[in-house]
Amino acid sequence: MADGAFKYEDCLLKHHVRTHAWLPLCKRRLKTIRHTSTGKKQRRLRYFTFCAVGAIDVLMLDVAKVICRSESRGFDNVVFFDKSPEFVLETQKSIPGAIGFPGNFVNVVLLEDLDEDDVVDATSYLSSPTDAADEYLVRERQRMLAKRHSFIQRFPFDVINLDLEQFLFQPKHDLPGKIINAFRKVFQWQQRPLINGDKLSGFSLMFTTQIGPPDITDEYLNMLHSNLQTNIDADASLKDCLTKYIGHADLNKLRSEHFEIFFKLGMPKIFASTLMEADWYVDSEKGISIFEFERPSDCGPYKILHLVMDVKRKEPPKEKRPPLTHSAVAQKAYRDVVRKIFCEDIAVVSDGNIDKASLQQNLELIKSRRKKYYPEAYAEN
Amino acid sequence: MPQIKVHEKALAHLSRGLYRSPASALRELVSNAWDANAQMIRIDTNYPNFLQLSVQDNGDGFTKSDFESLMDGGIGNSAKRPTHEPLIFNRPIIGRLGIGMLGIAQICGSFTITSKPKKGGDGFRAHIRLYDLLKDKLDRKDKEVYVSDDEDVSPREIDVGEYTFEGFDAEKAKYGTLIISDDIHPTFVRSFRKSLEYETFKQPPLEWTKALRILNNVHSLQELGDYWRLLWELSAACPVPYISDLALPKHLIIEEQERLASYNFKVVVDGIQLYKPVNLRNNPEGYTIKKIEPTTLKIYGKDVSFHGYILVQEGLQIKPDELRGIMIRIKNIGIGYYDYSLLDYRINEGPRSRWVTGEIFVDEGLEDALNIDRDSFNRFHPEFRAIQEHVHQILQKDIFPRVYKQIDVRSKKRAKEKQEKRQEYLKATIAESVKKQVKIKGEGKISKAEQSQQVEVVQKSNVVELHLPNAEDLKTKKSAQQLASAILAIFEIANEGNTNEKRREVFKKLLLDLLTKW
Repeated sequence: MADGAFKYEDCLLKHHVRTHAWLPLCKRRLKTIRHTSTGKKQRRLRYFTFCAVGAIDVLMLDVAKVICRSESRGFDNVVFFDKSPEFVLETQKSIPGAIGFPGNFVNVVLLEDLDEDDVVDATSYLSSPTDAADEYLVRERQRMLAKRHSFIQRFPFDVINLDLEQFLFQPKHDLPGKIINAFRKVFQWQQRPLINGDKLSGFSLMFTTQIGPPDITDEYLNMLHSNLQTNIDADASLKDCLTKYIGHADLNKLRSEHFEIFFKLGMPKIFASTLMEADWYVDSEKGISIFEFERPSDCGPYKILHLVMDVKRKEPPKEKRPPLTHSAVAQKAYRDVVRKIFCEDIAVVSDGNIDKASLQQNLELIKSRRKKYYPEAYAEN
Repeated sequence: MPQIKVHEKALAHLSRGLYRSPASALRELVSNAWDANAQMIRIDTNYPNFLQLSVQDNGDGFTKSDFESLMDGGIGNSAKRPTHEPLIFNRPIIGRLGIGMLGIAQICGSFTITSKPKKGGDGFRAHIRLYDLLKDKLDRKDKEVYVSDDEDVSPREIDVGEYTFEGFDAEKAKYGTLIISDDIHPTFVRSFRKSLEYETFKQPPLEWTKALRILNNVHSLQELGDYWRLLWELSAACPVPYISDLALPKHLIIEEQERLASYNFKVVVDGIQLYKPVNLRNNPEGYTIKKIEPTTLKIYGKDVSFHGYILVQEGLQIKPDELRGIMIRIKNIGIGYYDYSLLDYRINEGPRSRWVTGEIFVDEGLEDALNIDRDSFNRFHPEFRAIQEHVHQILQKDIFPRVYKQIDVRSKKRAKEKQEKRQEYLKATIAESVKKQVKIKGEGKISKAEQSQQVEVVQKSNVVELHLPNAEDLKTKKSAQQLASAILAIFEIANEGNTNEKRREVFKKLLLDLLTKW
């Protein structure tokens, strides 16, 4: 989904996150799949991404043999979304066989849809209507609905890489924000069974966002504030963590004086809570790992946060629990994850603490893989 | 003298109803790319969702002013088209009617075109929207499409759509032309998606060699559905090479392959590089082939030159059905489909006509015989007739006589093999009964003179010798002669029993055993 003059794929800070956060997470997921796979043929990892045109993340996982290509259809276990039809086209050249969805991810996911999430045969939306003329708006509505349901049918994924590179909270959107609402849907669709009827016991989640925006509204700040307050109220030890971290435990002061810290504490928890709503929880063993780095831009530098986490299915499921309750394991995990967010340091990635030479070497290796799939990209233009 | 005019509506209709299949419309864009010196054209259908369709070539591209001129009445107007310089790699110029780009209107209602010219000039990006319900609007004289109601303005032009220029980043753009549709018709999307749900559907592999294996194992493309049909039709129509020099037996296409490869033109659909959908090898009964050497006929003072081949897969139907018949190519572009009527061949060859495939490459002429859809011929055009007669002569005087000879040879061979096999059955049946080895006297080299009308059984210590009558001398139906001879033999064997009951029992067993295997 990213665009602009900055060459994201060449950014070594980002590549450090890819190799040190994304790759280990995906390797762990593959190991879990192999461990739990039954039957003769092992299931391949299913991957959803907002990969940029270069599809570096997919190619990295291909080089590391985490994503296994199908012998005849290549990357048919990779699904991606991109706003630009041109970018969908370009991406598919780099990762042949991948399934690309053109369009605005959030708008497609949140499309007003009478069938809502009861996935019906996507082609039924494409039948010729009996009561509408063959005009653009009619056709567009048909296509959008078909696209939404085709997308839902692709769920679930073992790894979801929501590499947004934009603001999670957008002032123009009503609370809790369209992106959060879209994620709610995505996590809900993750409950769908696999083709063989099995349900995922868990999945891996990567998320990228900018810290901000500078004009974030009070509604969003209040949402983060009340969320943090609830956590502190529920676990007194968090106050100590906070005091140790910033010298006091006053959320109002934190919000007004240290917005970045306030955001870094509050935002990941929004994710943890959204997952809980959809009957998932973040595995507390590693919690939510957060990586941060600064990126230059024409309007001044800005900060990027990368979150990675293992997600587990709640047991027993919602249908077997009293309303508005969580499983005990999930509740404990949530508290542990929150404590880790309060008490553990964020990994700040900078030019000074990365191994540029080996990252560059690895990036070249990945690019050479792309050259293999898409040699024309390297031909003289 | 009064002039004869065509109503402008007839021409406007062309922009919406010219091609009979998506592949035909896309084939026009492939021809454009070839003529624009492209070395690769990529068609992307967004498989398996089919939510967008794009066609991208790395050819010469065209300038903003070329585009404006085309949009301003240049579609279908050869006078507004730039004259062609020779093409790269000695490619013949395909030429076109000029409606190719708008032909995509049959699949989608609007699209974006981006072009960056190689030979200088401004590139551009424009969004084209074709009017919905054009035919209705024309009939109603809707103001959206009628520029003027003034009948005296001649020639009148009709608006079929509108375009707007969008931001164009010359640095990021690639040389060539990219068309991306954003309004694919739901009917197109639906039919392609539906075809993926067929029970007989198979995922198309990214390697054409593997795809061909699937294609060569179905009776008809219908079994695989519309998406496979698109792949197949494009591979059949486009000027691409064969999968290898050996795609056809006896080096039949070796020169053709060399020529096609020398044009350096690739067509890639959804990541699959297409080659011709022909791969006929290893037929156990072999092939009857006829290479049509370069031939030039003079028709009304014009040269019609062509070459090609006709191939018969002996005793085995060509698969898929769509590969049956004769494909005519003009400047390497396939016109329509393989014609299974063999260009209206008048003699009914029964199942044998299903063994035939062939291609006629027309190097010069025949373009005037093309119907406006470039998908079929005016079959009464003198140039078409000339080629038709030539092909029919070959079929009638050369190909089919050889095919019948081959059939005769195969029939005799099969009859002999059957006869030998049955004699083996007879020996095995008797041997099991008498628990001795059985020999048929003169086995393998029986002459008529050696054989009598009688069956004679000679019992030796561990061998039974059978002297069989000459089957052909037995006065019964020819198809029953060998069986009659065998029954007489087992009758004689059974007759060696001591009692009637024993004889009856042995005969019954031998007869049933024999008939089981016969």
